[in-house]
Amino acid sequence: MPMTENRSKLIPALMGGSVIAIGSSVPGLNWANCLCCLWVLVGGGLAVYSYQRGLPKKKGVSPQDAFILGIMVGLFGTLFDTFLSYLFRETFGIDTLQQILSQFKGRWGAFSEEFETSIKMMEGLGPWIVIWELISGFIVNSIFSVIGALVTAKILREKRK
Amino acid sequence: MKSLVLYFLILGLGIGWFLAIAVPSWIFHVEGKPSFLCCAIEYGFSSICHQIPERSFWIWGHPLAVCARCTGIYAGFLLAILLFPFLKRSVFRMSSSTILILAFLPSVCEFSSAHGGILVSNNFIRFLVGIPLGIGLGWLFLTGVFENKTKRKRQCQ
Repeated sequence: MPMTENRSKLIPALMGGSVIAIGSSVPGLNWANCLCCLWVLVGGGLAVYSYQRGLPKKKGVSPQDAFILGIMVGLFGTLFDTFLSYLFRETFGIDTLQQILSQFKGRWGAFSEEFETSIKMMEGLGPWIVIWELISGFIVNSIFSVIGALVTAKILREKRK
Repeated sequence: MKSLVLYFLILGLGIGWFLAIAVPSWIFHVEGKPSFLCCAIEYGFSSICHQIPERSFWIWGHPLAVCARCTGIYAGFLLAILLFPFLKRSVFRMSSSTILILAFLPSVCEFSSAHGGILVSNNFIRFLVGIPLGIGLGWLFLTGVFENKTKRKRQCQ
C-alpha cells in the first residue's frame, strides 16, 4: 500500500526552499543559522505545514511524506541559495577563491607552500567550486530540512488529534 | 526488522556526522599540513556554522570544524539516538511542542543574555546549552520516524 499522498509536494517544497535561500543568503538574517541551522529547519517545517493545509481534516502528514518533502526542500533550498549567493558575488564583485582562502587562513594559520599552490590551481576550476558547494549544500540542507519536516509533522499530527 | 535497520542507519549517520567534525584536525595532526579533504569538510560545515576558532573546541592543536554550540547540539542528537531504544516509553511524555520549547530554551536564554551583556558566556556553557537542543530535536525526529511503525505494531497485537 502506498504510504505517500498524491497531493503535489512541489509548491510546499518550493516555498520551504525559498525560505532557506533567503534566510541563508541575506546578510543579517543568516545569523539565525548559527542556532542549529534554524532557517533550514524552518524551511522544512514550513513545507510540511503548507502541505498539510491541503489535506483532509484529522489526516496528518505521514513520516514518509515529511521525509520526501524534507529532501525536496533541501534540493530547492540548495539551488536557490547557490543562485542567490552567485548573484551576491557577481553584484558585489566577491572573488570566491579569495573568500575561501581567507576563510581557511583564519582557521589554519599560515598555509604551507604546497597547499597554497594547489589551492591556486583551482583558479582554473571555478565551476568545481560551485559543484562542491551544490553537493555539500544539498547534503547538509537535506539532513536539517528532513529533521525540521519530521518534527513539524509530528507536532501537527498531535494537534490534529 | 525494517525498523532495526533504519535505526542502525540513523545511528551510523549520527556517529559519522559527529566524528566528521574532528576529521580535519586529525588529518592535520597526522599529515602535518592541511589538505583538500580538510578544506572540503570544513567548507561543507561552513554553511551551517560560523566556525569562529575562538568559539570552537580545539583538538590536536586545531579547532573542530564547528563551534562549541554546534558540537553540543550534535553530541545531544547522538545521545538521543543512543538512548532512544531504552527510554522509549518511560520518559518524555510531554507534547512535542513542549519538548521543542524546552529544547530551545537554554540556547535562546544563553544567546540572548550573552548578546545582551548579562552573562559572559564561554565555550563550555555554549556546549552545555547545545546538548538539550540536540536531545530534543533528536528525540522528536526519532519519535516522528518510528511513530507509525510502533502504532501499527500495537494495532496488530
